Amino acid sequence: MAWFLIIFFISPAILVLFRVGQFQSPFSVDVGAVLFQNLLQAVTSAGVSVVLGFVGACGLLSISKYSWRRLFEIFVMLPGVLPPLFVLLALLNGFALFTGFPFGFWGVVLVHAVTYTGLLSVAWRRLLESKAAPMVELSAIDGARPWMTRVLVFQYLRPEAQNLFYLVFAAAFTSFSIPLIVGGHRGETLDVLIYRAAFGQGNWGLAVSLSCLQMLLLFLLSFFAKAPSMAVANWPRHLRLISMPLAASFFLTLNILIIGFSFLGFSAGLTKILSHTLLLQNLLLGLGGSLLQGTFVATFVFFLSCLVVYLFPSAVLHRFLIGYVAPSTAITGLALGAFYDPVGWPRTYTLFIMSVGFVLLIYPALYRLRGAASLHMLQKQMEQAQVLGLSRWERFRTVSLPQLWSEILFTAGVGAFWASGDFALGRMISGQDITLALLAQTLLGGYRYEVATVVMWCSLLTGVFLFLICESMGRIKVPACR
Amino acid sequence: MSGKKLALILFFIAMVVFAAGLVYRFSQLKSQTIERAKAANLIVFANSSFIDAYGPGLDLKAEFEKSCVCTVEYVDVGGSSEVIEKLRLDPSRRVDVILGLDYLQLKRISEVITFQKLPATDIPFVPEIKDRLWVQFRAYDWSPMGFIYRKGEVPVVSSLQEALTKWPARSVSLQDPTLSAPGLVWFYHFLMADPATDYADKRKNLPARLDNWKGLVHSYSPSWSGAYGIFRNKQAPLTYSYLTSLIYHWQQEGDRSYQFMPFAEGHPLHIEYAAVPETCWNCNEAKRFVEFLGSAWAQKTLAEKNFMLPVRADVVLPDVFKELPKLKLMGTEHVENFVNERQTLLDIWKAHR
Repeated sequence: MAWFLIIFFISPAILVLFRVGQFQSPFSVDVGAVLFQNLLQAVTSAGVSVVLGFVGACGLLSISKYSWRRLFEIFVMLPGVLPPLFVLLALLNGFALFTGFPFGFWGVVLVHAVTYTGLLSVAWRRLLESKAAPMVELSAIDGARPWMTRVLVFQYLRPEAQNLFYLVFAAAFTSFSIPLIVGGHRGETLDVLIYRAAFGQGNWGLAVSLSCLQMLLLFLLSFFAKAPSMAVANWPRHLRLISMPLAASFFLTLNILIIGFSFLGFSAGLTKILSHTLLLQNLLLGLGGSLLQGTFVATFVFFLSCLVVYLFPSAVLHRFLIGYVAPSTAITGLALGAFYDPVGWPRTYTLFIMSVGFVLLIYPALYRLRGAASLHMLQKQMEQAQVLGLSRWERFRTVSLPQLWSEILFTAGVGAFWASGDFALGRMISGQDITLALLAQTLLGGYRYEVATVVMWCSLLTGVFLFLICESMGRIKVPACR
Repeated sequence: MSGKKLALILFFIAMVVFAAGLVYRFSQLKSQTIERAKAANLIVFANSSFIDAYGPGLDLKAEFEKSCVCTVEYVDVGGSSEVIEKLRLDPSRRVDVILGLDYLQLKRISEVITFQKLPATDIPFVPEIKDRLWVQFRAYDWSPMGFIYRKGEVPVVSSLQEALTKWPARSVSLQDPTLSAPGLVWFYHFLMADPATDYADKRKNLPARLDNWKGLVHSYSPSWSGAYGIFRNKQAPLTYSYLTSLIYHWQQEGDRSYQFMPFAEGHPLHIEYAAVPETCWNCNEAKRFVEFLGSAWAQKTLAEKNFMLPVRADVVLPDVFKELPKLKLMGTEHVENFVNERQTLLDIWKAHR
């Protein structure tokens, strides 16, 4: 079963390989310099994001009221789901008030850090709550200062830090438009090379081989990711010792600025939409499409996660999901696009295929973000249950599912949230603007920035709505009795 | 049973029923879909700005359907490069008309797809494009391209050579010529702007000229919208775009600060073509649709909603079009060389950008 799942994930690459029927050595082009630059950029982006994410998590710990913290978390995660161009333009606008934007290497790192820090802050906050409390208490007893305690906790959670590092590293390594626009003359990444080979030259043999090289490299580098440590306690009170209200204020201000800048033109856009019947109609159709796509994605992620939990412990599947990064959007989109022609099919089916493709792209990242650590915490329990003679199904029903229920639905919610902002894959599969993100992209391409801003915000609110539904469902207790 | 348990059970049942229903309908529709597509639709590949709520696509569709027992179905496949590669990977893909084919990519697309010859037409074409007409490709709109700026933000120059000395560093937001059609037009413009008259000399000078030019480049974006977005957000005072982009700012926004910089060496044209692939299903209607695009009514709609110039000489346009600057246009003498050497030239650009 684990192997079937693995084949399912790598199917886009296999499909394109068969369709292309040729293979050109990736070293036939000057890949070395690009690779070095790409690695350096991804390592720096990931390092900065992980450290800032930790600081952000300390900030989150200072917000004690649950509902406020949840709102804050959604807020700080927003840059991670906004289209890259939106984040970039917001940053450019912000920098224009004070100084010029640092184009080049540090510009790329900055945009990546802003994009991923919020997401990592939320991940760090959960890790701190489940694993760091005793360490914090011990440090406090020993009289360590807060900053020393934070350093100690960071060192203690190094395996988790390495996993989060890899998560951002993989995303930054496969980044496409940001390095291209912000990177200046050194903006070449492997993904850009792949896109150029495919769409610029029509050299699919080279595009596929570069994509394989990219996957292989990321898989090899994933071996640096460590097995996470066990959860020990959940004593949030002790964590106040390392909380940083200043960090919370800083990240809140930063996100307000970014989101505020991306709101420029919102009211003008809203007026235009309300006075344009066809646009309003498209907006409503797109809303339906986004809701359906998000629901599909959440459902797929839910069932896929259940399957992964059911198959746990499967060393091969775990290793695969930790190390695998889906081929570039161009390759995945073409694999699905080449086998699915939307002409003649109802929108629902196109949304269905888009959702399958999107899950293929994001699921390994979701697993690295949450799944791997959560499953690892159950390792001992599962071993004991196995010794007690429980079947796989019984272990799943009585041990793992009840404990991971909320995690699984949280992951499904994050998947739906991400899906609400997807336009890259959707554009390659669907020939029409059937979701809000696709509509926003079309409007961006036709001068309509104000209207696109409104549509993009509707799209994000759709994602937040689906995320909250999934998260609420995750709070329903699953009966653990046999 | 508690309410939460009941909700959980209902959730599971809903998911299972939903998945089963979907699989069932999918299997049913699979057999119907070919018939459905065959039925009456005219499948038209177009780009997103053509199809969107503001674009000309919907009006053209409504008008054409009045005289046709078919339904025009637009499919947004992106730019010329995306069309070429999608059809290269899946030659059996159903398409009757392809719109938005770019002048500089016609050779490349002809290597991948065979097109039907279009019937002779009596369209009175504007003189500017008369030497760029083909039997398989029908031009339906066009515009010269060049640098757009906002008044007062950058010195006005009269040639690319002069720009090298007068424009500030990092001032031009451009499109990547390997990824974007307007980017390729810019690159052609750059090559042709070399004062050397001989093509071989232009090519020889290219690396050094690119080295001189790169200090002026703010960024290369993967698409026109990316580059224009940077310009619109005032991150760069200049961008490369269509002369007709001014119409949008002047007419829709009432903002006259946006201007076009006429160059003495002339300007290249971006011409959009329609074509009917050999593999079309609804070929007669496809050819009628292409012919319809050349009608006076369609040309006016295209000009007003696609913000491009009509290919017909007899179209009466709003006054704002008359206010566009009159430009010297580049000739076609080196186009073939450029198209034939496209990849080599782009490799030079990559090494010296």
